[in-house]
Amino acid sequence: MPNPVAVVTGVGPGTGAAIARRFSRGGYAVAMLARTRERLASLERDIERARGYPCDVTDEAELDRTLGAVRADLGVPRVLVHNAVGGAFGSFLDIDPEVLNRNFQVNTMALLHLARRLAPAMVDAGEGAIITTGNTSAVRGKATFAGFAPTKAAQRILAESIAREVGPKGVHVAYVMIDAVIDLEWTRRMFSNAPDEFFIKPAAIAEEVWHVAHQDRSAWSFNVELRPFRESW
Amino acid sequence: MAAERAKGVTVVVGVGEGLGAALARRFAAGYRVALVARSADVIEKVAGEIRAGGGVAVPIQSDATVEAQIVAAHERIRGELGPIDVLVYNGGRRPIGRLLETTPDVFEDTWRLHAFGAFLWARQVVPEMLSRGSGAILITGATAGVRPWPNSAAFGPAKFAVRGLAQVLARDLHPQGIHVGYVNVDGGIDMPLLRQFLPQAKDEDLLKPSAIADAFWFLAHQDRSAWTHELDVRPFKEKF
Repeated sequence: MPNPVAVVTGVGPGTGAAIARRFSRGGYAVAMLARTRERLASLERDIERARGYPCDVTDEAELDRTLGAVRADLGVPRVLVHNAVGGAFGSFLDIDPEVLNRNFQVNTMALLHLARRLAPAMVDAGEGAIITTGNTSAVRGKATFAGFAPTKAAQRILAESIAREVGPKGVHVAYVMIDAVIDLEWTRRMFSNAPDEFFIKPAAIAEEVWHVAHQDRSAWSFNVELRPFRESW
Repeated sequence: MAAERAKGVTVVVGVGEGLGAALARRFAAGYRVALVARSADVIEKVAGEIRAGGGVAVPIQSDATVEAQIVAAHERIRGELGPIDVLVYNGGRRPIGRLLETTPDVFEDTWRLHAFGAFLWARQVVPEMLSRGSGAILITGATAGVRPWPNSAAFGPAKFAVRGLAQVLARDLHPQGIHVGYVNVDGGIDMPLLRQFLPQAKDEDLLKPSAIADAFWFLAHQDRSAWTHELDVRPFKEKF
């Protein structure tokens, strides 16, 4: 039996790497997609059966080449985790309007591009999972989130549309909504006074993504919210 | 976390042939289990099966709408098994009827079983969980708690009420270390009673009780840096 294949987008040092590690530990060959080649190289050395594919997920031609290489190197993907994210903070009066468009390309359009390329084989196989990592911006537009929240809301609705279409064909689509600040180097700097308990751990997120990707199909979840026990909501 | 609680206690309130029995079986893999229901037959049968498999299980007859009976049941569980780590509130029945088909008694009894019983049980188990700074309260939800049908005149409002209670408890207790989960079971559960009503249902149209029980188990053991409050589960073919 060849190892099942998972594609994870947006693999940096935080959540993406933790998801790649979790799927590797579970026996998957993992295709790690990110724009930065150097980061991927060190993770390749670190994570068993994981291969890095430098790729801009908003570029359809690049995606075609990359996914072709993934199929040739590792096999046909059973799982897609769309974790790549474009973000921005700032008043709607101050942001460059192009920021919203750019984030829409990464967060929403890339999910569409990826799902259009990967879902058909999953439908043919009668199984598979497409999981998107999102956050509370998917349901709430706060001040200074104008360049970001609209794209996450659109992303969640796109995932829901795909879920209702391919779910009955055996492909599980889910949206993991992270209501927390993720424990990363730069967030620790930004919230330097916050205690450990303030943060959500990348490994804990990865565990949830793994769980959702392997639920019995008689009991699938679509929306999965995650927050630290102390988080107010 | 499973190992930490391996010798702990889980109470499943509302054990019938379907989900309640599956929940008791699932949690018996890591806990001493109390099975609570009004009638004796099913809890005794399932507890016997768990014991035969090497687990610890105590059947306890108690009405989840009568506070005195809950207090007595709680005392017995603490005495025989120890302090409670996980409360699974699965109490309830599902009367079918539109407004004019639903009597005031049915409306009130349904609310008592779903919402009032969860409130009373939570009041029993929470003080000890608070003193330890840990514990889990998991409540069974239904589609009707989010989007009730016209024939859910009693069931819909009862499920809305318990879902509201679950959100209050979560916001109150999460920061104090107690995890409150509400599992929205968005579909028909594969059990004998439902099969009678839906003889044409195929296996794949229904949720397996054991698969739902896995979701409860998973919630009870999430890392506290990443807790889920409301979790929806449905069969892959279910419309939603």
